[in-house]
Amino acid sequence: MKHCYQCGRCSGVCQLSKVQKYTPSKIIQLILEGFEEKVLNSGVLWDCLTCNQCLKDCPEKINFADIVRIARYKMRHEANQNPEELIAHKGIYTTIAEIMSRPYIEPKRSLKWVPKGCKVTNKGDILYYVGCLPFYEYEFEDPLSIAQNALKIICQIEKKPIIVLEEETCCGHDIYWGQGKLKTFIKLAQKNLEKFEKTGATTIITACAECYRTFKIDYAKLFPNLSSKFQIKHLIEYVYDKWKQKEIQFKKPSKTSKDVEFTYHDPCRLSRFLPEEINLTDKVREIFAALTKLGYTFTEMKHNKSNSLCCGVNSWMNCNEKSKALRYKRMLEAKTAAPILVTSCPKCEIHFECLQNDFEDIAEIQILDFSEFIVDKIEMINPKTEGEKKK
Amino acid sequence: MEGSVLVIGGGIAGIQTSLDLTELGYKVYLIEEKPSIGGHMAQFDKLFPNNDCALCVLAPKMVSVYRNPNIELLTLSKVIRASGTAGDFDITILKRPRYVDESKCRGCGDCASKCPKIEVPNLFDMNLGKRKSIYIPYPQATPPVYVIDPELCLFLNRNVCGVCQKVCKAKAIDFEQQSEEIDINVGAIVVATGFNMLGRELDLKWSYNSKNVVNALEYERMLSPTGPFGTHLLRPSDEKEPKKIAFIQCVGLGYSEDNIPYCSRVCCMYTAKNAKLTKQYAENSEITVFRHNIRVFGRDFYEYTKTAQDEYGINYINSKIINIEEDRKTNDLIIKYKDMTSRKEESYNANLLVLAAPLIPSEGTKELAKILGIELDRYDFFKSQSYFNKSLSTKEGIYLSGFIQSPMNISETVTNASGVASEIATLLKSERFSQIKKRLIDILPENQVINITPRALIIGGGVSGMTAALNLGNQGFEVLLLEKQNQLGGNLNYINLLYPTQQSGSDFLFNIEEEVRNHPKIKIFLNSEIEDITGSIGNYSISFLDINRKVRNFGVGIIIIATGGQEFKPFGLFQYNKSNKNVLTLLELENKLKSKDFSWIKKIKNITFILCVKARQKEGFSYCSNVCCSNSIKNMKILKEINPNAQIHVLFRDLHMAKKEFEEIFSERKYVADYVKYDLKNIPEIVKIREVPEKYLIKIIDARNPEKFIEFNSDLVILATPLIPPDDLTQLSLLLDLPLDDNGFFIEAHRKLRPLDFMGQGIFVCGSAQWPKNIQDCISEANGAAGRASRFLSLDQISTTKVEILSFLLSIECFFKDMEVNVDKCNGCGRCVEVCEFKAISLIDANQEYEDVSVPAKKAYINPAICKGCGRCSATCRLKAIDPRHYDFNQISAIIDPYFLSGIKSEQELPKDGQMPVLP
Repeated sequence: MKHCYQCGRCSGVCQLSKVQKYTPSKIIQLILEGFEEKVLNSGVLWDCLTCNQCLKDCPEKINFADIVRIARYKMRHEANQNPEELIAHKGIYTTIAEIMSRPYIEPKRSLKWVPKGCKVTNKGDILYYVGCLPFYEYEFEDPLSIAQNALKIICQIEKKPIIVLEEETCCGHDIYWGQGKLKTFIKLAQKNLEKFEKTGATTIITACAECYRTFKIDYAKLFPNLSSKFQIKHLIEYVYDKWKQKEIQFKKPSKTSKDVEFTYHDPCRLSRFLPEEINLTDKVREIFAALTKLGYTFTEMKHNKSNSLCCGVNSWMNCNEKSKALRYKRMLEAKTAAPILVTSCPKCEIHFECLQNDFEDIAEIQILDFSEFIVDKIEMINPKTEGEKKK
Repeated sequence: MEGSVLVIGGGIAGIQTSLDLTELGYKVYLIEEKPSIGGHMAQFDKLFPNNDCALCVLAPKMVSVYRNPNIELLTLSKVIRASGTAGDFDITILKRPRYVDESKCRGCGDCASKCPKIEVPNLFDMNLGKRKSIYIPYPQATPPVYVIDPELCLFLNRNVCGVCQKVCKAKAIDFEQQSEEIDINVGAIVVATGFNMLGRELDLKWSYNSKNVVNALEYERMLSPTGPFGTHLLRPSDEKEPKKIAFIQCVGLGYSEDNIPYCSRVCCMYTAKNAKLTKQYAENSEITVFRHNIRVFGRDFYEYTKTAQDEYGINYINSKIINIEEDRKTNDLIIKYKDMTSRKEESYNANLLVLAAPLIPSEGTKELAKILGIELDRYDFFKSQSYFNKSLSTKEGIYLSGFIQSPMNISETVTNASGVASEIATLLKSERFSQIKKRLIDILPENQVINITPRALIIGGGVSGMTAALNLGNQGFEVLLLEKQNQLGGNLNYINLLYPTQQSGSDFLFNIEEEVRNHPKIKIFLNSEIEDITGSIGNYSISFLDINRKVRNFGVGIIIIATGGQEFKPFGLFQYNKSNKNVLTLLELENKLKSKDFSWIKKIKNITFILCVKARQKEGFSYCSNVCCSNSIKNMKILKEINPNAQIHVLFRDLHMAKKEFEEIFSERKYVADYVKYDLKNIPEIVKIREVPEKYLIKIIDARNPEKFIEFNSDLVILATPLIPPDDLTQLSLLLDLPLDDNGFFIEAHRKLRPLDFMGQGIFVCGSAQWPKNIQDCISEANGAAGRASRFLSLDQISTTKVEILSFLLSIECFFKDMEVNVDKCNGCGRCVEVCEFKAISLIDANQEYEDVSVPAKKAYINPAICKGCGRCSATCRLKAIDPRHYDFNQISAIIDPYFLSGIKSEQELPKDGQMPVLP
């Protein structure tokens, strides 16, 4: 933070600043000048979207989102602030996460959603991490279809039972970023890790952008030997790898199918939040390029890759008319690009779908998760290679 | 023609007339003989029946008179000469010196605290309290200027002292002031000189000269927390709390020389009020009311006297007072009376006695009548041109407002005052706004302007509706008169003779109907049925079915509701059914008498009237219907004239005469019929004993002599049933969002000061839609409602500021009226729409503009014409997007913060000598 020379680019690119007064550069300056307490007491940092747009454009690579995360911890514990009013959905989802963090509570989650033809186990090699999707079932429109489709893809490729844990706990992302409850996050991480170790899995696959980033980066910071124990993959990465390994190929669109034109919304957690070497944004576009060759039409939105606009809400914080304006902006952009909007973060999908209830003009856009989009477009090339792979 | 009006008398009648006149576009000279306006109403502690603080509702009106640039307020003044005719009067006013410069005095009171003259009785406190020789009658006196009593002041009398002049920082004391004569020209004169309460005249019979006997006005001051005894209820002789308090009603009433022959109309109610208040202030006191008949004139009034007995445990004794003596030692009063129920003579020992003394026209009435050249009636009230329009004096251009016509309560006075204003507006139609000062400061943008459609809708074509229509029509406004029946006139169609004028009902109706039908501005729609009404003040759109069942649509500016009432048909009670032809209700009898075929009456020997059928009781109609007693007595006389041999029995509970003109008929009642009193424990029984011709046996126990069981035969039974609201009133009330009471009558905005308005602007009510009224009251109310309505109709446009100023004058409403939506903050959640009682808020489509995106959004819109400024929306809004205009959240917190927050701090830092630290 000390490297900041007040160029003000962060305040210029800040997505939140488009709808309300918000200037990261000024906040940084205040903190540097010694008014940290004032900044914390003002509560202004609860508003941040943590989209990391500022980091992307910062010449000194100052991680403002991280500053916000730490500040939120301080605001909660030092300035005694409680952002109850700002938490969306009356805080139910973060409360669930918090309950799960308690030591003797073991969630027993129903696995009824698992689609037919997929076998699940609790010991094995590959683990599919579902995340919070089952909890959303009561409020949102069919969130489990993401999990179902993701599991279908994995099962189709692996042809063996996949680990899906009944007693899976939350990854803790929202607690970590949104609430500033660091201790709860650590407890959750420890719990998760213990469970992963018990299964004996080596690969963890998730379809969620937030879970992926949390496991890949934040858990790794807490547990340095994590990356040696587990290989963590996002579904995109997994499909990409399998495709590169020539295990699968993509289907041509059937003549009747309508979903030929599509566009892609990069979630912040898979673009700006990841180190450049992971480069998921390009990987997914390679897949899309392949699909384009097969007859699909992929159109980029005006803001894409690491410039992607924010879906408006982060970590269940600050759902209001301003965040709706941000979402509306994104949806208008998507509308001009294609009738189908693909994304790879369940939260983005939920946020966009929610907005469709409010505004009629964007209600026609079909919003799909990557798993839902890709599930009927892949086929196995050579099932026999499976044996070779094991070696 | 002059566009100005002289109002004589600054009581509530004068105040209301003046305020309404300025809003109708006339300059007003308001003159008052006392140093302050406010009149008797300012002396009251609480007002019946809602127990509102009297001064709290009056003072805002007094202030708006004082501040109104179009009212020239002349206190300590009286008229000494008047000449001229309607439209152009020359008036000379004598203004006595105040010895204090009104423009300089700030009412600080330094002078009074330093004035060395010993204190003398204060007239405002009915001579129970004390004041100095420089004084202000009461803290809220208007103008808030001190006055020097020239008879007491040492400087004026002996040329010594002058301390007040020395201490006055404003240099307002001016001993050089002289009486001056002021000449003015006015178009019309309103006399509103009010009443006095008898006092010393009651010495002889009622022991008023005893220390512990007070009249009701004195008792009002004693009850008042600002009165002579402060917050304690003490008796004058020894300033100790009285344990046993007696009230005597109908004091000094009677037909002998030195008595007052008419009913003062308010005593039953204020006695009940004072008894209730006394019980609240001093729980352990024992209260006895020596009553005669209970006569109450208003909605819920009868119930109010009932709760005094049932809930407050106040002992009402129907009695006749024999004499009152003072106990020389204790100053207690020994009241000897005859209990009219048990017929025994008894005595009661009271610590304090309150006399409900009769009200008489105020002092100087005769003198004023002479100056103005108008006549007085036999009771020294000003004489009216006709019984049915009391506000016209015998001289054109001079109007009567309030008590000075005949005894009336405050709400009737206010109604009447509005009516007087509107009648003056008819007279001086051409001079409207000619002498008025523009008093609007438009601080709001143009889009807040409300256009007023200069057309009125009147629902109901009875006598009230027609009178209101004529009044508005004569003022030059277009009127739609909707009647659901196939003829105009309502209940008047069934009425035979109108007492006390002896005029035929159909003649009276014919005259007024003819005038309405031939009026170029009035459109009549018979057999119509209202379908829908939407909109707000100035712009209501109505649709209704006309006589051909065709839908008609109109835009109107204001609505007057004059839906009247209907007679209750008591099927199954007292042998009333379709087959019994000789059991009739009053209206049916009147209708039969109209035919002029009296042969059937001549055959009848015995006639029985039963009063209060199903009325004034819990199972039935709880209220008193106001008109039935006088109607019954009227019909008794008519029947007796037709058939002098007929014997008439009257079964009654209490007798109730609406107006002073009826008193003469009332006094003759005894010669016409035999009266038998019954009570609710023993309701009379009627048995049919012969079919042709019908004959009935009536069994009753006389309530005045419980052992006596009476039986007699009757050929004709007349039932006086209550007046009830029309059947489909609920639909109308829902359509307009207006409140109805338990009995189905409309509830006005404020019982006392806005008796003709509803809380929603632009809708007015008159006549029996509120409560049963006689024709005189209906006409008075109809004129009043028309006056209230024409304040709006006379303006093409009102801005919301104007509504603000109007409502400020109306005073009862919240001062900070408009609520304002902060469009940037509002997210269109619609919570405010849900909580708004007045349906003033709606969600409209708008765009929320951001730097690079424009989002369609819903925004709350508050219709300023409907908004009352209650603030519920502001309290509900989670985003603090709604604030009262000129009183927003930041302003409030800025007020609170320094005091509240630093108050906490300074508590800790408070120095020991008690000095408050200086606030930052």
